[in-house]
Amino acid sequence: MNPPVVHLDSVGVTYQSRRLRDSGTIAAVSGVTLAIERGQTLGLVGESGSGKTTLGKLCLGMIRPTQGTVQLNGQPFPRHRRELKGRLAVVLQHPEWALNPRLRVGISVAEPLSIARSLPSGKVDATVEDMLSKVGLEPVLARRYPHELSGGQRQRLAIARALITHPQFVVFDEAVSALDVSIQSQVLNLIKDLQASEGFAALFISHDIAVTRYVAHTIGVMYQGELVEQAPASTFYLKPKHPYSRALRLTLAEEDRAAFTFKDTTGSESARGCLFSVRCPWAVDRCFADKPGLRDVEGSRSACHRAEEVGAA
Amino acid sequence: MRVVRFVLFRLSVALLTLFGVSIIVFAAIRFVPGGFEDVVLGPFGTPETREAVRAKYGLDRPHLEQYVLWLGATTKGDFGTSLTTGQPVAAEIIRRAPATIQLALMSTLLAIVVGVPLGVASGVTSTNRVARAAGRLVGALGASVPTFVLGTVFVFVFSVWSLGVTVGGYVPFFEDPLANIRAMTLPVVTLSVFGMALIQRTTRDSVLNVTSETHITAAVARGERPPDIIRGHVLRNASIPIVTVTTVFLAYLLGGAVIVEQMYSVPGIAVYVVQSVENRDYLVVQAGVLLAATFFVSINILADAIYALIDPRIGGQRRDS
Repeated sequence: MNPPVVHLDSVGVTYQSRRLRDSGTIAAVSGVTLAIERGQTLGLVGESGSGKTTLGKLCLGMIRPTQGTVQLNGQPFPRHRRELKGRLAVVLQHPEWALNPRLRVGISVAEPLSIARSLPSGKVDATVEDMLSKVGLEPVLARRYPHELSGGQRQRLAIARALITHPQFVVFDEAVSALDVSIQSQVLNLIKDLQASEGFAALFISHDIAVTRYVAHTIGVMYQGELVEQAPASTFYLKPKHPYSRALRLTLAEEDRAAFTFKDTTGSESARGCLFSVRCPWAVDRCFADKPGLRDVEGSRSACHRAEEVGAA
Repeated sequence: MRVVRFVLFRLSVALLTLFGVSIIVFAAIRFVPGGFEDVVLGPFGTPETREAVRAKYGLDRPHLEQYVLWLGATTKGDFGTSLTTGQPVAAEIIRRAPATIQLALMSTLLAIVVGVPLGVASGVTSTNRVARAAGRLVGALGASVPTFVLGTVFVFVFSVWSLGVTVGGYVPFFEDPLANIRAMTLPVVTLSVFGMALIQRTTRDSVLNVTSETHITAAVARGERPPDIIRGHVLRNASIPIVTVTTVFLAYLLGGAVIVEQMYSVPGIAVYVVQSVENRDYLVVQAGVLLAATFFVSINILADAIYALIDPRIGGQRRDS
């Protein structure tokens, strides 16, 4: 069997605090193990500051992990990013800054081709036009400047630019968050269709679990830099196995929210136990003393001592 | 068509500005207490001789008449003759122009050549610490040390140890290029330090802003080389504030040149115009100020043209379909 396209093995990133008085370390991500296969999408959800974007950058090799290893096709990242030759791509949040405002968009879309060097220069224009029609845009738009286009069109162009080198792995970091709902669903459909035809592996980062459900095959839940649950999308939305996932799922159904009491914290995480324990309505004594690791629970992986009960409830 | 209309509009605004400047400078130099006759005769001149001097140079005629006569001649390219030397003003200015033009050009060039790379180095987070520290040092020192202090230190240091440059001793470039450069090095450096700081800081801020745009992150992610990213994406997008601040620096040069020309005995226009104010040499002051205003107005038009060249959003909304 082929190695997964992206493989993270107990990866952690810690930043040294720069303040004079306290020289502590801040863990942006810790102990994350995951793999993304060809043609699969991992949807990564979690609140702001939970380490989603850091994890995305780790997968792209833009940050080096301080613990653990990140592998691309079973290989460590090359020393120089140039050697990636267009195998990786990213689509980011703000469509207004997604394209260089000084360049005609056709030139922006064609840009990755020069790194990949996979194409004779005579064929560039045709490839760009082909790519534009793949993302549902008129080829004549290639001669426009970004400010002449809408946010949805720009995000489609950002996707076209990302996919023009046929990358093996694409990170979508809040790629649809700035778009309004009707445009969102168009772009999500586009991503799904393109993945079906191109077969790239994808990491889809979003704070919106409704959006994630739509595109992801697997869901990963981040909480304070740790992966607390990973489950197939099909079962995740029915029976989440972690209290935090349950809380997130409730954001989908407005009326259920009252049923879940979410304790406020003053930032005093349990030092030895589960990071979520101070906010968790399911927490028992053991949760405060003993940190749960990810374990297999009925086809999912959950970092909760009471995962079975949470899933059954 | 759009371009023609734009140019016509800008030209008429420029002419209107120059017209306003001509009125202000004409009035201002005559508001200064003491006229040309006081400079010529000193404090003991009798009213009769004073009147005779005024009559000889036509200064006794109504101000409006003098103004209209002067403006009429100026529009035909005749700036009159200097009251103190009797030479044509145009010739006096042209004689002194090369030194000032050389000073301004070289200072601007030096400020850009040093300021932009330092600004980029201190704005891009991946550069090494030494470059970033150098950027900060130039930014802080250059902006806070006044030109005359820097000049005084330079004059002292380089008078004691020559180190290959000369303090004063201006020689025209085409007579002896090497001696000219040796004499102009200190004036140019003195004048450009403020510009370096201005451009370094503006570049740094602008680069920081641009590098936070997501198309830069995307370029980094797909593996483009950092120099390519800086050249292709960062600099062009960061350049508008740099152009703006360069025009601000050019305006500063008009004033800074006075100090520097004086300090290093460079026979330029700036110091000549200031001396002419003291001599109440009306026509020289009027011509000099009008020339400076023309220069500055042209620089501004040029800057607008450059904006339009580097940013498609400013160049007017062209829709090609």
